[in-house]
Amino acid sequence: MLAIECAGLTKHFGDLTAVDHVSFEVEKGERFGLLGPNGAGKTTTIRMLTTVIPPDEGTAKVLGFDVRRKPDKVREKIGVVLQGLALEFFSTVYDTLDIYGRIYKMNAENRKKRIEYLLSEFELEDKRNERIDCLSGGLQRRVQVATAFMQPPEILFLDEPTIGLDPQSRRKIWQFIEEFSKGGYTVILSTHYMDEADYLCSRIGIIDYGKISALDTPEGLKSTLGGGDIITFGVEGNVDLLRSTISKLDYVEEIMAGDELAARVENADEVLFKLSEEVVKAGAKIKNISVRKPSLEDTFIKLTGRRIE
Amino acid sequence: MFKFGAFSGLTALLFREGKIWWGLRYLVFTSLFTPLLYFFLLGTGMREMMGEMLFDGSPVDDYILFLTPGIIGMGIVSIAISSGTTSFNERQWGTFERVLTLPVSRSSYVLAKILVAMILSIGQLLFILLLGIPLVEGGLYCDNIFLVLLATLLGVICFCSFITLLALSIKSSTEFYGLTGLMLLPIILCSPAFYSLEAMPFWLRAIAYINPMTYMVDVLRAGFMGSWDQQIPWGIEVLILCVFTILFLAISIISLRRVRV
Ligand SMILES: Nc1ncnc2c1ncn2[C@@H]1O[C@H](COP(=O)(O)OP(=O)(O)O)[C@@H](O)[C@H]1O
Ligand SMILES: [Mg+2]
Repeated sequence: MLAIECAGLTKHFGDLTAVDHVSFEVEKGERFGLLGPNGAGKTTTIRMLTTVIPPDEGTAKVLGFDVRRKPDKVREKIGVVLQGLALEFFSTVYDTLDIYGRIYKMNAENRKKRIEYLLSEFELEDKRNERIDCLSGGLQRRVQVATAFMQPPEILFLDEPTIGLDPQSRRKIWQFIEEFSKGGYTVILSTHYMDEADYLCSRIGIIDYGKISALDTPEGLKSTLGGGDIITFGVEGNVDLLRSTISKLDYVEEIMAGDELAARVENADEVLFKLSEEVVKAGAKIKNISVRKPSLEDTFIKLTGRRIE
Repeated sequence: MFKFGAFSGLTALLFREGKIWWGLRYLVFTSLFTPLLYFFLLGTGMREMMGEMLFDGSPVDDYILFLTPGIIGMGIVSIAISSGTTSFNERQWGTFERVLTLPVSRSSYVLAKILVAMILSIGQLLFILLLGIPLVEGGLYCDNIFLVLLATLLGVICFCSFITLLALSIKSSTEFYGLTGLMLLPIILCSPAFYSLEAMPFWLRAIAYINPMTYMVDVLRAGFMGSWDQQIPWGIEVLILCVFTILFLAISIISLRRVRV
């Protein structure tokens, strides 16, 4: 059975189509990412899959249960980390975890064990009796993620789980998601961080203006660019003119979209010097040069025509 | 385990409400304390003067006795406002959306909120009855405790639903706090909480008749004193209170179904 199966999923808000006929499938045990800029429709998609709002068109099944017809069944099996900090701010860390244990009908002994385990995993032991509104944002986020793990869910949804977090909290959360998914559980996450999607996800759907424009493994997405190296020049001069000049060179495979002057070539070692000379000949002053492998971000820019903010 | 579909997760949600209210305890204490201040200060201050006030056709015997149902009614409205404030906070915190993803029903969520408000209201009722012992000769007496409980429970549901309705439809916190703060006084003063309807000018009485507080306080008073303010029998007043309650409850349940997160 598939973990997620959605076909033609659509949501309108007035004239705006926030999610536009989105279809994808996720196998059990996968770590699936929705990667897209602000306003792309990630949260709306996750809200429909987690039964918070009903889809206007299309169908979505979570573990075989239709989100519209069997929302109760879906809710029993999922854990959700919302985009915002959704926490009972006036209660303590321990009590908050206890609340979620009770909601998932764990008995007192199991609750206690699980809470101790999560407090140590998320390094929150010394904060157990602090009120949540007195914690820093990073710690609050860790508590929120911990609540979703009180009862290990069959599918865990995380909507931009590390947005605006300090590196330490970010790493903790990544680690925990990895550990969790090793147990054969499914993870669906949305993010606008390239490195997060690249690192955490086994498959990524690139979403923009409510549509999924590409869906593949991180490697697959990167290789749609055709491999090779990307050479970027920091220059003084007319960048548009330079672009059209070097695009005529036969060893330049592709000019990258974006503000900078960047070109993809087969092998940077062989052509770097030649190419630099061409740039200088065209009348520009080179301030710096960098060489790198194509990244997910390059694919993203190619597909959507813009850089993610 | 036996499972009620419509009320699944109720005990867990009640525990959760308890924790939320416990976190708000200083605020709750203030809102419970204010009616008590009125009871002492207004009650003792006006006791002599208000002996002249006509109530049920004759001057009141003891203003404190007359005032008690009004204070209880005021307490219920304060508790309902606090309860609505927790609903409003939950929308802002995002915990409301979180609840929608949990294996609990929306009706359990509403019921948990109303039950906690009921428990607080009954606690307050008992506390005021105890306080009345030193204040009133022979203690506060209660003609018909069931009628008092009925009015309390209906009143809690009525006002909780009404404030929840505001909490679900207003987005900005300044508007919500401004509006609830502004409403408290007219709800209390355009009703027979502090003075009898007979003592009111016509226009004020007209407003009082469309204020559910009027019926709640009247039924409470009928329960305490065995006499009440109006020409209509208390049975009809209970009915009118029921109509307000069912109306507000129904509208708030409908808007809870539709609310956007
Ligand atoms: N409740 C809502 N009412 C109106 N518009 C909304 C609502 N929720 C989201 N939108 C709009 O839908 C689009 C997609 O939003 P969202 O799914 O939150 O994107 P993302 O999570 O990718 O940033 C945005 O343009 C947003 O303004
Ligand atoms: Mg979002």
